[in-house]
Amino acid sequence: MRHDRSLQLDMVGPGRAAATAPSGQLALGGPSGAAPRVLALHVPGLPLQRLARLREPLPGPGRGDGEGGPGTEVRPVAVADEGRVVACDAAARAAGVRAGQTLAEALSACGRLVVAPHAPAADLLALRGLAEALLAIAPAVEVAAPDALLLDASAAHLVAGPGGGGRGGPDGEPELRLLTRARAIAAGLGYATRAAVATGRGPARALARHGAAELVRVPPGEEARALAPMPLAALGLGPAVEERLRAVGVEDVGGLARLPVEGLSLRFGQAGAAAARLARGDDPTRLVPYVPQTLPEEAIELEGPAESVEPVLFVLVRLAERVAARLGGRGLGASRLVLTLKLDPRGEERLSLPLAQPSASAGRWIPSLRERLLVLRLPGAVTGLKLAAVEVARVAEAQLAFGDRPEVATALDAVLARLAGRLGEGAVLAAEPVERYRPEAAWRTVPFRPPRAGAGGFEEEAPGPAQQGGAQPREIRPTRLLTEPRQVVATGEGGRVTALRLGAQAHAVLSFEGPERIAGEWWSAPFDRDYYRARVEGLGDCWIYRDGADGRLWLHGFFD
Amino acid sequence: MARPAGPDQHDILSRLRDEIRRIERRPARRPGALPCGVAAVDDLLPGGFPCGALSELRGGPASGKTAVALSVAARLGGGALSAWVDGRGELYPPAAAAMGVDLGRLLIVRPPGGEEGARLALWAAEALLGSGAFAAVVLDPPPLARAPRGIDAALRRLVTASERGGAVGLWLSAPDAVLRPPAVVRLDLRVEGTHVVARRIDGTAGAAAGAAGPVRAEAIHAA
Repeated sequence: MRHDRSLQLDMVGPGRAAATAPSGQLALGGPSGAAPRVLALHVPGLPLQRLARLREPLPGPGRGDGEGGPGTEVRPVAVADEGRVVACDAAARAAGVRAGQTLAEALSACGRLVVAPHAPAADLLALRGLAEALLAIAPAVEVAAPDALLLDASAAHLVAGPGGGGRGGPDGEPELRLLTRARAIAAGLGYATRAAVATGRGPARALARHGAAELVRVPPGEEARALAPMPLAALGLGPAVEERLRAVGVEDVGGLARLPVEGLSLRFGQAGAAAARLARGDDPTRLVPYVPQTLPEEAIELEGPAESVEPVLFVLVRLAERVAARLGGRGLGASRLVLTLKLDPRGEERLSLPLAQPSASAGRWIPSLRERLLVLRLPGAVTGLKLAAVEVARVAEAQLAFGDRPEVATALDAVLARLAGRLGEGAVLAAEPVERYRPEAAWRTVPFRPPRAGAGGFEEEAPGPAQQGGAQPREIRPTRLLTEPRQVVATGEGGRVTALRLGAQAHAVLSFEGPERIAGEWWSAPFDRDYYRARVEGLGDCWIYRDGADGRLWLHGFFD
Repeated sequence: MARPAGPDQHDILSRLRDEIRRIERRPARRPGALPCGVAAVDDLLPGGFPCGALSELRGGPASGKTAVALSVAARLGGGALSAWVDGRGELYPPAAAAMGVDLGRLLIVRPPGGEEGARLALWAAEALLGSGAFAAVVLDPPPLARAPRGIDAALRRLVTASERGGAVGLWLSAPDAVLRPPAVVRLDLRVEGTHVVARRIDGTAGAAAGAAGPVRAEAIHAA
């Protein structure tokens, strides 16, 4: 019977649910139509999970001699704050370590215990990183420290299933699809989570933390019933309020919901009234969306020094996937990555990797990173990696169309990385026209980032010269400009140049056109030149100028 | 008894190579050839410069070889990319833009000079040709007094990379250059009086020296 009712409520939606709910609930201020549908993602044991994802065992051969073999078994880990254990993993618990113990007690119970300091700031950063990735499936995400994220689930119907299917996908129910996607994204970033969808922030968070299953969906209006069997701690009222409630015989959320709101108000003030509403599943408060302010970076410490490229690449793939997920959630793509390799016993190597096109695909980055790693000669083994996106650009979701060639983009990034790795980044460039009078300064180098066309390919029509930015010379310019102009000496008769001496050799001049006066930049380095196009026997068309300062002639380029 | 390799066998090998490329998710080869748009040069070549092979443009400092190579880059269209290994450091991008080259799609690689620079220029050209990401790759190697030791192997790798990547490879060389590229097509551009004359010098039938009419320098630069 209950099942039928929940189905009916689910179909009519939250606003109607309030109207069809039992009259007693309405009188007590039941679920409000204004309360949002919220997906809460709880990360149990976040400090421990954060530490675990920072460490990576090395695969197969290539790791240093100091580690490996039977000595690399997992050691129990505990997180301690002010001399007391605040969290411990399963191995530590099996050895007798418990939260609340003093460090001395914990270490006497387990001598191999690894103790890490409690770092709430690092935990918060980890939550924010996860929030970035989840922005891919929710219009707003709230970071609910210390260990939860709250997602706006109102757009669940727009979220595609794991296979890419949208509405009517394999999971059918949009909110269940959203739950599955959210947990999958968290798993991709290395976090095991519990998740719940319900109406209101408080109920959703309580259900995620204390729900019977790892994945809970409560239809609108069913929150009070779902919350009833939970302990008071699920509501996050604080130990003082919980203690006072227990003193009056309230043991669980259901018991609290049965008490009259007026009485709780009188006895506990506003906190009591809010607790009573929460116990009835009524939490109209809105999400506080998290707006990322920094660019993502991820790090992993290796569990042993890696002396060859392959194990480093193995770990780098995971690192790249994490950074890519965080960027992708924000609709950004990296146009420059920085990989920092921590070396044994000290020091680090920093690699800057420009990408031809901004991308949030780890698959696009890996060939380029691999190319750079392969040409690297490191003074020591690698003990840790950090990958950061330092330059980003907004990228539109693009669908592959017939004829697109994403492999070209991947090949391009890979060859650019090879060239930059061997020749240096400054030797691999594109040119951009600049509004300058001085011919040698009329262009500048920029990173090679060809305009993106279709997904992955470069299929746009090339813009003509008129469409390109910067100055376009109206006059024909030489195709080759000498890096250092060479002095020439002119000989002539009757006011006409008949020959040019270049070095020891004289060349007959067949024609001598000009001048074209190019002068200016009086504010910095003034110059005054008269340029001539001279057709010279044996050389062809040369670009020659007479320097206004001293009247000497210079060969500046060739119309090759 | 071994059967002589016939045209069918060549086709089968070509198809197998394409299939391997598809499985390895590497860029597909570009079939055919790319014309440069200068009629007198295109007349010398059947359809243009061949894809998947090296062509040599040999000529003096102002013979028009750079303009011919830029014309190929300017005519690529379809969003295709081109690369220029500028071993001499003399390519003037504003002129390239004026000739219609999309500078945003032209990668310029500037290796250092000298013997080591020549090796690096060849290596860069090999990487670019073999990548499959570029439709045309131009190599303008730095001037050398003598051929570096062991350069033959690098030249052979260049041929393999050209075949693998399917790009048009253009090698710009001076008449007195010590390095001779392993080119399929060789074109000589020479200043004769007031004209630049283009000739095929690879011994291909029907392309004897002087067979082509003169190519006016203005025509090349205006292309």
